[in-house]
Amino acid sequence: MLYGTIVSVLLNAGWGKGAYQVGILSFLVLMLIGLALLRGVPDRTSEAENEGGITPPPEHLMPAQDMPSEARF
Amino acid sequence: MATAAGAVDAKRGLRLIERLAGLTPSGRAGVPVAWALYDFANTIYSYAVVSLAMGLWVVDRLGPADGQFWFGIANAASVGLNALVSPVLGAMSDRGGRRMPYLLFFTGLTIAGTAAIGLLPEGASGFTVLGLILFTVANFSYQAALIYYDATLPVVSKPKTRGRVSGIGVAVGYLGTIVIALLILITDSGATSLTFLMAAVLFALFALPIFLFVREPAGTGYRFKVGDALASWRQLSTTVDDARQVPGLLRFLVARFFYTDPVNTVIVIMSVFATQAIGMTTAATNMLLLGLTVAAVLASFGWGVVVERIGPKRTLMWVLVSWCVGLIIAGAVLEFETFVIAGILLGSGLGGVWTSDRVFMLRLSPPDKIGEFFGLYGLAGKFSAVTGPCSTARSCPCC
Repeated sequence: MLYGTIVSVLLNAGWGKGAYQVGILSFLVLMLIGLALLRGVPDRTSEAENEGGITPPPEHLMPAQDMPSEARF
Repeated sequence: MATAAGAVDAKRGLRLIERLAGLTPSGRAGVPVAWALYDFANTIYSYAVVSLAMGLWVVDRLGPADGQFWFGIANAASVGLNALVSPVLGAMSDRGGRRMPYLLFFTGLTIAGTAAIGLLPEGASGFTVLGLILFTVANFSYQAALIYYDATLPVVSKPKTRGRVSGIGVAVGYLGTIVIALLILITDSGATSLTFLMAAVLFALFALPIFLFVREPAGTGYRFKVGDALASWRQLSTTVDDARQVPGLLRFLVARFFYTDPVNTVIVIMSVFATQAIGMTTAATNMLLLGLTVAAVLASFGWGVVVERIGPKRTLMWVLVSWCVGLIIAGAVLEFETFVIAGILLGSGLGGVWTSDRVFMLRLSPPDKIGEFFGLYGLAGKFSAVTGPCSTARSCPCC
């Protein structure tokens, strides 16, 4: 909206190619606002990300507490 | 010699299959390929019908002024209506835990609507209203299908390979644009029935693999009911409340509105900017845009790898920084050379935005709310898609 309005108004005011330059500047402003907002978003790992991760086996398949930890060979 | 070369090729092919298989939890190479081909298919529709043929089709029948006005209305109605119901559509798929039935339904509707426009009698202005209604239905369905398509990313990728799979999809999608652009050029079909029929057939053909190869985990057994769809409306406020509970999600969606607005608008105004501000010819502009699409294809693969290395948020921030640099270059000096440099940065960043932001959205969303939140994600993008380009028609001196 900002771009359309800016370029339309400035072209009618006789700015010529300068109208497009100011229009591009409006994109830059929006992009910088987006970037600034994005900076504050926490970059965390969601449950969805962990779905494919290592999950513990069911309790009846868990090794016994007193099982020796050495390799069996 | 030939046998040795063949063996090397076979080895390379096997390695590629292994790598593709490694991207997906099922271990089947066909799955990410089938998924990415859907991006190829829907981009064919998007380029052939939305960006090119439909606007010209309406202008041919109603004249430049009325034609552009009514096409703008139909486009805004389809995207705007979809933006409003996106969270509801997403929430409905969350109930059943499955996306594919909805993806199939809306894909079918898009293909049927597009084909039907192609079957309308040529040059008969009486069918223009019907054509516009069919386009509104097809475009609404196309946008709805995208919600479910994005939400299937966790099914076809592992958490660590999401960036690469998303990047492959975006890159293959841009290839779809190149293929259909060349086909339209070769057949010189413009806004004729042939373009709509080609788009419908190719969409159906390349969308088919996702329904054949991608298998979702069993759902909850929920079956769609009209009453539930109506009840989902009441859930809209709950969806926003739910989103508030997820740290950073609403902030991300607001940020998405701000950065997708310039992205959506630049796609629309780039050719006008090239001819009016830079002084390029239409033919040179088309060639340049094709070249920049190739840059976007190559960059999408690269951004996918970057997503996996440094994460989707940092990748997205780098992409936006590259866009800022591109915009400064494009706006500061109105020369062909600087425009090409800016175009490469913007074209490469275009692939980067779509590759990283859906992965970041997925990272922020709890698994049981993916459909619902992807609806909100669509809302932010589509609202900017409507508010961005719709007003730019006024700034185009040729309109």
